[in-house]
Formats: sequence, structure tokens, C-alpha cells
Amino acid sequence: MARDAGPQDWELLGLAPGASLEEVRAAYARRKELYGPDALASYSLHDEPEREALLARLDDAYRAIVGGLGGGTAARAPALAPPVPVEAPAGPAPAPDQHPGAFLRHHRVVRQVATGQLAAETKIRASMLELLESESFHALPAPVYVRGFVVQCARALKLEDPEGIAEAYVAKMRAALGESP
Amino acid sequence: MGTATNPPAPTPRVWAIGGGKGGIGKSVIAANLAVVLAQRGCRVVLIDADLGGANLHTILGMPARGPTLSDFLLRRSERLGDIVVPTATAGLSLVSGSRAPVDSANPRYAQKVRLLRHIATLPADHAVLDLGGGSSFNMLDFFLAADHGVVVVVPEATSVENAYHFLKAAYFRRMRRAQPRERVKAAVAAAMAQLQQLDIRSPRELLRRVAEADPTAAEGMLREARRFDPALVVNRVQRPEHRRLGVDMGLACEDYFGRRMPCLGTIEEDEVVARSVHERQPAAERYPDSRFVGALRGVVDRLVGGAGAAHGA
Repeated sequence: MARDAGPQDWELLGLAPGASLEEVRAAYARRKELYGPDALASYSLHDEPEREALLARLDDAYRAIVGGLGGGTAARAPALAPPVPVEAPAGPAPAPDQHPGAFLRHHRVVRQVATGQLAAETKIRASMLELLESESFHALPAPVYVRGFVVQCARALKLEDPEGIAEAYVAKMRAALGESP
Repeated sequence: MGTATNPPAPTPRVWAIGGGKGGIGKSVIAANLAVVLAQRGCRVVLIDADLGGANLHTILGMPARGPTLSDFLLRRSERLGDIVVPTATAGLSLVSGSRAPVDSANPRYAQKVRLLRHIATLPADHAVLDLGGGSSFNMLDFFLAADHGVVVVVPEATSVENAYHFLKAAYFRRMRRAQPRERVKAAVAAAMAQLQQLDIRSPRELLRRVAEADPTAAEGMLREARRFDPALVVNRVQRPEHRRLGVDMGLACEDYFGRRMPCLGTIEEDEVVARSVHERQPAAERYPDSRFVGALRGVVDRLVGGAGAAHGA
């Protein structure tokens, strides 16, 4: 499943290889909107199967690039893989129902667990954990899988009520994707 | 570019306003861009190339008589200079478009080349061509030969669709000139034969695949691609969410063609446009302080002030 990011992935996001994570996220979010089903600005530029394939490739490229972060693939995407073991926790814990991704990150950092460690323990890829923590809902798989990921992470971090945290995460994800609960 | 055939005298900078679909304000924009340029002290010739649908004379308040561009294209007038008439705006003159039947709406290639050659000899700083709606696909050569190709679009699906249709047609017409021709043809055919396997979904990706297989062919294609540099103007914007349309379309074009496509201006719906047409006086004169004219001045600033200065390069 894991795949190295190639030049075509960066090209797809309109970035030069080595752009910052912030730039990657912004470029990805912008294109998800630009090539969405109701977007006027790209209307008729691609036919429908092409447009859907383009969106799938954007997801794939984004995962491959962000996958360079924290998963032991530093050599492949240097700009995205700062050799920082674990960031310092900042401020109080965010509310799980408002910022479930940040909530997970906060508790991981408080417990001094690196993403790679959590990945090893949960068998969830580091790039996926990164997407989970950054609430990159468009790049994540279907909510049913995300629910499982969140429960596993919460258990690994020994948080209370893993199911409840997963529920809150999925609720926010569905709302962001415009789905009914 | 196409106009740089007469090195001794400075040739006019050629603007082509196109984009398919009628009724989106191309003519009004072309006429008022020309007036704005003239107001800045430039000598400007406005050329109505909307064959069969000409109406620049109406926008400028000129009578519908005298020889037209069709007379030149059909060689009833030998020199373009003979059919240029002055307008009420100082510095601005007009070549009227045909009010004649549609059979003249598709001039032959030789006549288009002749027109470009004559434009280059006009004693003017700028030549602004209104390529019209219905016939503008016949006018792709002018669009490609122009120093500034401007595509006008309004925030409607039909207009966006036409703009992309027009841009794709222009791009592929440009790429047909890529040299060495046989080698380019073979390299493109080879890549297209593996469209699915190579996952090619845009001209930009095609070019990248060709570059992997045949760098010489790709170099020739890239030379042409670099000369494909149209810009967008969004007209008749009413809703706030459409203010980003030009920039977003520019990004989509960049992703697709691999060429930057700037948005020169976003023009909000302004009732002075319809009023000035009724009054048969260009808005840039009648309503110089309107939002419409202010936005057009921004378009001119962006083209004349910026990279547009590299004229004839």
C-alpha cells in the first residue's frame, strides 16, 4: 500500500519536490475543491471519468507525499520528514468533539510517542496517522475504517472511551464531507 | 511573434479578444480596452473580426456604412490602411466588421496571413481584434498570432465550457506546428497508443511522457507550448463566490496545459455597460468612473505594465 512519492505526484499538486507540508496541504485542498463535482471553474475541462480519476490520483499523490512524514522514509521526502522525535506539547488538550485529530495528536505528544512508534504498535501506516491527526478527511478512507483507526489509536494511547472518541471523529468527518450521520 | 515580420518600423502590439460564445461582452470589452489605450495617448486600431456578427461600430456610435474587413479579405480593398476610419475618440480608429452574409465568415489561411501582415504595417501602437463569438474558431490563427490572447468568460457553465473548448482548440492548433513534425507526430502517436497504461490525462502529462521517450520531439513541442500564453478576463460577475472564477480557471489550465494562465481582471456586472451601448458612446468615455471601466484599466495595467512589455520578442 505504501508508495514512494515521485515527480508526477508533486506535479499533480503543482509543487516543486520538497515543498513544505503546509504548501502540500494547501495545494491538495485547493484542487479537491477545484475539481469537485459542482465546481464551475473546471466545468467540462475533463469528462466525468477523467475528473474522478484525477481526484483519486490527487488523493494518492497526497498520501504518497505526506507518507514521507514520520514513517522512516525521510530520504524520499526530505522536506516533509524533519528528524524531530516528538514535538513538545503545546497548551491544553483540544476538545475531542471539536478537534478530534488535534486531540489525538496532543495525547500522543504528551505521552512522548512518535508517529512511527504508534504506527508500529497499531499497524496503521504513519502517513495514515498523519492524515488522521491533521483531519485530512478527503484523503482518508471511508468513515467505517477511520472509526477503527481512531479506536486503535485511542487504545494504544490508553485514552478513556476510545469508542466515544471515534464517534466524535467520524461525526466531524461526515459533517465536513457533507454527509448525513 | 506573428507580427514581427517588419523589423525596421515598430509594429503594433496585437490584442485578440476571443473565447467562443456570443453575448458575454467580448465586443464591449474590446471596444473599451481600445478606448482606454487611446486615452493613454496610444494610437489604436480596433478591428472587428466578428465576421457576420459585427457591432463595434454600434458600440462606438459610428454609422454602419463604408468598406469592411470582408472587403479586405475578399480583396475588394487592397490595403487594410484604406479601410481604417477615424472615430470620435482621439487616437482611436476602426476597421468595421462585415455585415455581409456568412460565407465570408471563414477566410482562407492565406487571407488571414495577409491580414496579419497588413496589421503589422499600420501606423499604430496597438491593434485590438474582436474575434467575435460564433466565428471565433475560424479566428484561432489570429488568437495565436496575437501578442496578447485574451479569453473572456462569464460565470455560467455554458461560457466556461466554451472557453475551455476554445483554449483546447487553440493549444492543439499551436502544437500542430511543433518541429520536427514527423518525429513529433510519431512520438505523440506512440504515447497516445498507451494512453491507458501511461495514465495520460492532460496535454501536460502527454508532454512529460513524450519527453521520456523522445527528448528531441518533446523539445519541439515545448517550444510551441511556451508560446501558448493566453490570459483570462471574467466578465459580468454578480455573486461573491464567482470572484475567484478567473484565478481558479487559471489554475485548472495550468494543471491541464502546464502553462500559467493569468486572470487579468474580474469585472462585476455594471448597468453602465448596457446604458452606454444604448447611448452609442463607449463606457470608457461616458462613464470613466464606473466600476466596469476601472476594471478594464486594471486589465490594461496588467498587460501593458507587466511582462507584456516584452513585445515582439
